Amino acid sequence: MSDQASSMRHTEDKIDSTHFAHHIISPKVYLTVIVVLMVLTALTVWVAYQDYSHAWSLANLAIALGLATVKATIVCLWFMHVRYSGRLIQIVIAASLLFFMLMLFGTLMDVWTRHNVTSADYGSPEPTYEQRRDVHLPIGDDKHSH
Amino acid sequence: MSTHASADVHHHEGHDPYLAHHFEDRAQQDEAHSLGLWVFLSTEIMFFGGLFLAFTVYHVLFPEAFGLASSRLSVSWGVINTIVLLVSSFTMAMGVHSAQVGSRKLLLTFLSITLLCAGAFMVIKGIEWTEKYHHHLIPGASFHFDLNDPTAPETQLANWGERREAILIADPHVERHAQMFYVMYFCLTGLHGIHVLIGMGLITWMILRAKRNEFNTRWNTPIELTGLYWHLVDVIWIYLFPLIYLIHRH
Repeated sequence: MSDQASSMRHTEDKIDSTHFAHHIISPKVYLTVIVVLMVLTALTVWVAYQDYSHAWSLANLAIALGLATVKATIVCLWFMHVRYSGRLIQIVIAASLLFFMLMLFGTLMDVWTRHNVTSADYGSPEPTYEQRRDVHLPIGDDKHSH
Repeated sequence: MSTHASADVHHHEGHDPYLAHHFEDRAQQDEAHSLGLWVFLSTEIMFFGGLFLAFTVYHVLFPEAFGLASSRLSVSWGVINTIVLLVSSFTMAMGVHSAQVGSRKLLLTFLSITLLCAGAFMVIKGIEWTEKYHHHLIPGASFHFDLNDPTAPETQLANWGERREAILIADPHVERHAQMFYVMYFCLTGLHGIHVLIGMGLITWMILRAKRNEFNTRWNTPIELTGLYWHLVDVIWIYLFPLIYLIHRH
């Protein structure tokens, strides 16, 4: 037993920090990161109330998603230590994002290019003005209710 | 014993008690642990990805309904919850740091603050969901979305009469389609909420293990992996917040 204990102590002296994959990040960096995240959150809320739709109808959504991506990237790089992770982990993350984008892209290519699907009144005939004003129409009965 | 002996010959003079015998060294073991969790997090991205995709498709189909329905959510609760979750991510990162430098007291403090923030997040979600229940905004038979409701935020707008006409011409069934927004709202925030609850369970478990003095400068992988999971929960909320609370606010 005493042999084992002494060999353990011996081991602890021998192993130096270079054997660890962990990169210890300074609390100062974490503090900077949280301040930046708070500022970006305030910016996200502020821009949501500004109207950029005259430039491009999806401008507000694009800005909101862009800011969210900046925030998410900051969390991944510093809070989740991806900046200091091995290449293999970075490839796994990139691959999962790539496949998510593919799923989004493939589906939206279909949805966006079908005129009859993007119409909110999908599947029913063009309503008359009176029908448009009456929002309490029963589902699927647009033609016969008046 | 012979495997230990041969491993020792190959790598170290001594044997690291925290190194499993099937790993070459700590660097390889640590990376394998992180990689395993990252593969799990990738499946989480695809899991939530399906819901985000469904949300996006219905948003494309019913933009007017989604804008109107979203405007009935409380931005202030959304902002407060975002701040609460960001703070919890910071305290989690500080918890991992405390474990790495071997401060058990700070580790316990930061884990407890993280747990408290997670609890606060769920309480606020509960307040919001209860509000939705009282306003008949839970999808199903009792769902009721009324463009003529004088207490609804959109009807307070100065040019509401005009806007209402424009919305009804663009989408005559806007009140019915608003229900789809709430289906997505409850699925997304519900699934996210389940993840917060699981995270709270994991953090509680880590607090108990830290109290038993299981972690030190050389062994803190469970804390680090719990941290990774918790940060992902935060990352998902970072996208959820603008998508469900801030669309069509301008």
